[in-house]
Amino acid sequence: MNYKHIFNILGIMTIVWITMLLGLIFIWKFIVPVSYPSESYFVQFVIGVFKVGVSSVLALIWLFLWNKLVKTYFWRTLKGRYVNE
Amino acid sequence: MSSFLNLICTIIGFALSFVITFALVPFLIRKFKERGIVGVDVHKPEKPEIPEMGGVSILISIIVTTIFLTLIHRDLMKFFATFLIVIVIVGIIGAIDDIKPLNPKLKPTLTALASLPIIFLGTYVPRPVLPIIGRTRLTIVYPLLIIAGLAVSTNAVNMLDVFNGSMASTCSIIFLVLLISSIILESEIGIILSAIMLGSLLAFYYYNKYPAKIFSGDVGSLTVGAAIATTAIIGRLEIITIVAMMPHIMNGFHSLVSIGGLLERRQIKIRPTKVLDDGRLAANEDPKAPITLARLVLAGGPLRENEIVKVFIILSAYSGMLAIFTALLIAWGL
Repeated sequence: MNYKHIFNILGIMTIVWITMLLGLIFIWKFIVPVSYPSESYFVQFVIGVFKVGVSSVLALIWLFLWNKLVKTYFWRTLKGRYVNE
Repeated sequence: MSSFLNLICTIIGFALSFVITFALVPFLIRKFKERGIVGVDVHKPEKPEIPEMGGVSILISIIVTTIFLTLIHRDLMKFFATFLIVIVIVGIIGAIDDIKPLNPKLKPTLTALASLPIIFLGTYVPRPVLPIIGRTRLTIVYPLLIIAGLAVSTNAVNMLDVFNGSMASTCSIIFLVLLISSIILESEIGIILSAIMLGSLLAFYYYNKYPAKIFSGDVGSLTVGAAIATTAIIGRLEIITIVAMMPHIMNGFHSLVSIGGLLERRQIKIRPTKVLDDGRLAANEDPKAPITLARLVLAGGPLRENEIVKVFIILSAYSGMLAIFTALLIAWGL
C-alpha cells in the first residue's frame, strides 16, 4: 500500500477542514456584523438575504477550491506514476 | 431520571438493532438466492452472484427498534416518529430503485421530498450551531437546506456503496462519531438514533465485509444516508456530520463535477476503475472517467478490493476525528 499517497489525501482533507474554519472566521468577522440602523422589517430581511448570499458564495468558492485541489493532485499523481513506470 | 432513561434507550437501541439485523441477514441470504434477487460482484475476476437488497434487514431493524423505543421514551416520540417516517419513505424509494432502476434525476428528487416530514412535523431548529460563529439564525433558508441535505446525504452514501463493506464500515464510523459528538453536545435524540444505526450497521458489516455474503442494495444505502441526514438535523449535528462525511462528499462531489451532472451508476460508460488480471484494481487512465474516491486512492497504485476499503476506513476515521474536534470547538464556545 502506498502510505505516502494516503497521507497526501489526509493532507487534502486537513486543508479542506482548516479552510472551512477560516471561512467561518471570515464570516464571523466581516459578514455577521453587517447591519443597517433601521427597524424596518424589509431592510432587516434584505440584510439577512445579503448575509446568507455572501456566505453561500463563499461556500461555493470553498467547494470549487476543494475540487481544484483534488483534480490537480489526482492528475499529477497518476501521470507521475506512469512516468516512473 | 431522564439521563437514566436515555442511557437505557441507547443500550437497548444498539443491542436490539444489532440482534435483529444479525439474525435477519442469513434468512434474507437464503430467500434472495432462492428468488434470484442477486447482483454481480464486478470487482472480482470470477464475477460471483451475491444476494442483493440486504439493506432490508437494516430498514426492518430500525423500524422495530424505533417503535419499541417510542413506547419506552414518550418524550421523544415526535422525533422518533419523524425519523421513522423519513426512513420508511426513503427505504421504499431504495427498494423500488433496486427492483426497477429510477431515472438518475428522479431519485435525488424523491429522496429530497422525503425530507418534508421533518419540516411539517417541525422537528428541526433553524438555528444551527457552528464553530467560531456560534448559534446562527436561518429561519427561511434552513428548510431548503433540509431538503437539499437529505438528497445529498442519501445519494452520497449510495455512491460510496461500491465495494464489499465500504458503505457499512464508513457509515458505522460516521454514526460512532455522531454518538460521541452527541454526548459532547448533550443531544439526547442524537445519542439514541446514532446508537440504533451503529448497532444495525455493525451487524450488517459482519456479512457485508470482504468477501461479501450479501449486498445492501439501494434500499440499504439510501436508508442509511437518510438516517445520517435525519440524525444530523433533528440532533442538531449539521456541521459535524458534514465534516464526518468528507470522504462521501469527496466521492460524490468530484465524480459529479468530473462527469458533468447526475448519471445513474449503470449509465457511466467509462468506469473509474478496472480489474487487473491478478485481481487487483487500478485507476482508469481515461480522462473522461469520473474522479471517484476509489480512483483517487488507486492513483497511488493498484490495490486489492479489501485494501481499498481499508483506505476508506482510514479516511473516514480521520474525517471522524476532525468532526469530533469540530464538536469540541462548538462545546468550548470557540
